[in-house]
Amino acid sequence: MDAQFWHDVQAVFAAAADARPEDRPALLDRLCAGRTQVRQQVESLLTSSESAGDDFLAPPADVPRADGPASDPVGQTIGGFRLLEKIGEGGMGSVYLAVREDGDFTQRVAVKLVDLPVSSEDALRRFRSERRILAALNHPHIVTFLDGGWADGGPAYLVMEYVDGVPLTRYCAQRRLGLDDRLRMFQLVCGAVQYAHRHSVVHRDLKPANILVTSAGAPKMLDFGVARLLDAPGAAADVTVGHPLRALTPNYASPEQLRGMPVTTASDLYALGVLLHELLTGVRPYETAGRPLDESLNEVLHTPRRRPSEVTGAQAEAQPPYALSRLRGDLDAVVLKALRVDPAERYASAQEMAADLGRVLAGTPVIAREPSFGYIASHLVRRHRAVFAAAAISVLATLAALGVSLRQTRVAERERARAESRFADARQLATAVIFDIHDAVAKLPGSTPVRQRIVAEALSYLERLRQDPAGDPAFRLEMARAYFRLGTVQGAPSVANLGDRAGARDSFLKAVAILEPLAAEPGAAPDAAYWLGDVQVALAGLAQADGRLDEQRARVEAVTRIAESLVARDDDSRARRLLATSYFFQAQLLPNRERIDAWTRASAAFERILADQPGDPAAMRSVALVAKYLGSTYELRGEYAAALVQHQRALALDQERLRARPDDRVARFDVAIDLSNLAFAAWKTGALERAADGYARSLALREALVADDPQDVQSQGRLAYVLIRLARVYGDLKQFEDAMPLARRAVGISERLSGIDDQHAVEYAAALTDRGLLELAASRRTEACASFRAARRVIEPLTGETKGPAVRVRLDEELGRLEDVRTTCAP
Amino acid sequence: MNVQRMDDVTRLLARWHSGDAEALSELMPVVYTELHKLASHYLRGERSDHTLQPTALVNEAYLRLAGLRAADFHNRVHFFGAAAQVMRRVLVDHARRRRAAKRIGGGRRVDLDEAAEAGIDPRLDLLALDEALDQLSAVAPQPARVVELRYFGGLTVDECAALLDVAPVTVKRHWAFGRAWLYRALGGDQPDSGSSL
Repeated sequence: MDAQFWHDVQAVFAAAADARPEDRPALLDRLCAGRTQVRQQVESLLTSSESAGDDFLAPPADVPRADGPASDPVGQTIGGFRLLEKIGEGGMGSVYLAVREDGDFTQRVAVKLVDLPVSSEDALRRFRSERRILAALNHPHIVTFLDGGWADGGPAYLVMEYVDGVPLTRYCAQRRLGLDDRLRMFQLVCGAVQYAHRHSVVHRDLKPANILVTSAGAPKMLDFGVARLLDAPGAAADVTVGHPLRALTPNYASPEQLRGMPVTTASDLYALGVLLHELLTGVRPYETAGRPLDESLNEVLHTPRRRPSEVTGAQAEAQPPYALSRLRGDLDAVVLKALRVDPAERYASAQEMAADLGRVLAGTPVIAREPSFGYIASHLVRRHRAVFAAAAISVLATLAALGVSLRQTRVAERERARAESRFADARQLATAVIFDIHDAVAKLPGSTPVRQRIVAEALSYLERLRQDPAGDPAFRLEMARAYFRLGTVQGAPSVANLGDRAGARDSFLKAVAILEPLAAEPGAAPDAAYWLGDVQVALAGLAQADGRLDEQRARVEAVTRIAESLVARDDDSRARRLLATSYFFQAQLLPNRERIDAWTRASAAFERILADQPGDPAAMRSVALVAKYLGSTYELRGEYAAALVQHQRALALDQERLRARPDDRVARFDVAIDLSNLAFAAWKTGALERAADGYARSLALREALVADDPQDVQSQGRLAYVLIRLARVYGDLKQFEDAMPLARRAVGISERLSGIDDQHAVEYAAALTDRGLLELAASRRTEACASFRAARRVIEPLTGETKGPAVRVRLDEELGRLEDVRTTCAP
Repeated sequence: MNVQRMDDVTRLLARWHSGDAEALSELMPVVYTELHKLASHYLRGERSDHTLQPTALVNEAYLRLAGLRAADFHNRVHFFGAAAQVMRRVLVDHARRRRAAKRIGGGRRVDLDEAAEAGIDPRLDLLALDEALDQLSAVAPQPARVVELRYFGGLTVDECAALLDVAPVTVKRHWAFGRAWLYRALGGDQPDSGSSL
């Protein structure tokens, strides 16, 4: 049968069905003239149509959604609790007063019945894990979460401490609380929020109804984390606030929540801002209830907020008993800071907000009115948009590469919340904003001008602050730390820096100028002396790099003095660590022959720290580092057996560290270095095979490190170094076929790196010389002489200017080696 | 559904809302998963207090995915149109698994009629209907589509008309034809000529 056949059948059927039954035979006669099969089909279908009856395939009517339990749960028992009466209703379910069924009728609890969107194994598992988190919240101002689960065939339920109280705003209005009392009450709320955030629980739906105040005047926060609990996986809850099950309260929702973006602690801080506004003025900053989402969003995002001191329209019963003009200035600033659209411009934590309210109560300046680092940072970002976009992309790419797509898993979300709260702590002075941007940008090639500008910006900010010295020791300490950090970025040796050693020294000296008097004030800032020690260590490093031996010695002595007094004062690991560090630097200052004792003393000091804190990675690294130095010192004295012992100790410790954290790049480098140190000692004692083996193992590690981060210039230099060493051992073994490719690769890598600075240029020349020496040993004189000529061409332009001592030493060594072979290639 | 997929859904919905019909077809796998989850949830009897009808499921899936209570008519119809197809697959898959479970003696509730559980006319063999719909679709695609839309998607005649861009009277005709054809195919009187098709 072709399509036309069925088309005809349909047409005839339609006509016949519309006709009265008695007219059908005549109609069919006319329409199906001579086409019996069409007619048969139509007649058969007409019969079916009649016998089918109305309910065959009766289309399901549009069924209204029937949400909620079918029957009244009052009187029922759920999870061992008998529901007594309904005491509330919210977007997520109804709340009942309940008592324990088995005996203890005195324990009154609140049971919330929730219609979970999806019940599956997955959701159940999640529910349980979230329940554990909620159960772990134990705070006087957070309602205790007792239990939760799924009743058989019924809705999910949450059992909580029953609070007989009234919502925060109503409590304050009813009792006509004064301004200071309201602020103190709000500080308690902030404390509870801070506590939850530290436990990685975000409320997501803060509003007056979720903060009940008992008759004793204690606020109790409800429903912490419940909003998230109800975001079952698979539910589209996160994409929209319009979802019936995610009926969050738009009046208190943050702009990012309204936009359906991920909710963080910053969203709670915004809600706190709305709450504070309402608490202080009797009205909310804006009204979104009952308005379309896009309109609300527009209002929230684009309408400038009024100052709380200027709002009007509070209803009589909500009218506070004080004049709103009292809010002018500091409280205006606090509320508006909390209500910023950009989360980065809000308070970094509830604690910070509470602290500012404390300042209002104490009459000291609030940070809300300080020029914010967030502002400066965003200003910077605006000015260097392209660079920052690139920085952001690189950061994202890194995260992706690490497989840490933060938004993908709940676990990651929790981690992120934790990281956020840590970050918030570190940002107390907000300097971190600038430095974080700096660090992100620092990895980009060609970012130096931007980095310099960031540093300049940070510097001018710090200078402005310095002109207005606050007496607060914590603040002064923060400032000193900021200078310390700044100096590190500018030019601390052995850290990625801008190479501005003079600027770095300036900053470090400013930090010293703040820290010295601070450390001298008894009890002002116990940490100040430690920071002073760290800054002096950095200054000693700078002096060493610049060849100012006297200053270096004086700085190291200062570190020792500080450390000794701290050991006497605190006798804790941090003090002992600083003292051990000072021994470490002392050892470096001594002539070679006297170093052994100093290293041994440093080693003993670090060994003791490690004994106190077994397995502590920092202590392990310090001991291993000293062992490396000690080993190298033995090597300089020709005591290779003793050197081997030290290198083996270092290797054992570094390997242990690496086993604990296989991804730790520093540990991987450390092991690679230990292996080549051991290989060197073996080489020097004539154990060529062992040396080759050690270098080959070190090479494999270094290859992997380069492959993992091709951008890391330092690791490439280290790769080139071990390639040359292994090539030379093969050369000694007369295995030139193995040696030459390695040497050529080393030359290739060091050539690429030679443009970085004089140090790298010298190493390039050294690689060329090494290749030449191998060629010479392999009796390829012409090639060898070409290599030496190339090395001279690289190194000769470098000899003119004065160099840093480290470069100078290497330069002289290499010039010496080239001098040795000069006659070989003489015509 | 993980965040990645949610992002996709948001993006696809945005595209679809702005008139990109392709987006809807890309959405379908997601819709399928969602409906499937909802359906098995219902079919396990975990929400016996609810009216068990495919329409409710589709409606719920729509709310969950689109997150809009009062979306505009056009979008809603298109969504439902596409979801009807998915709903059919979901229910048929479920019925097939149930049948398999019965055959091997597994399943907790083998004594219950799965069709009844699903709120579908218990006299109807869902798998047979599915097969018959396929046959109908081969000879008369439009009536088959109308049946699918109305029966599995819960669309009204007017909605079908809007979706298929035909007059409501045409939808009624297709409906009548499809119904008759399917009733016959499902065990009504089979004309001899049918076998010669």
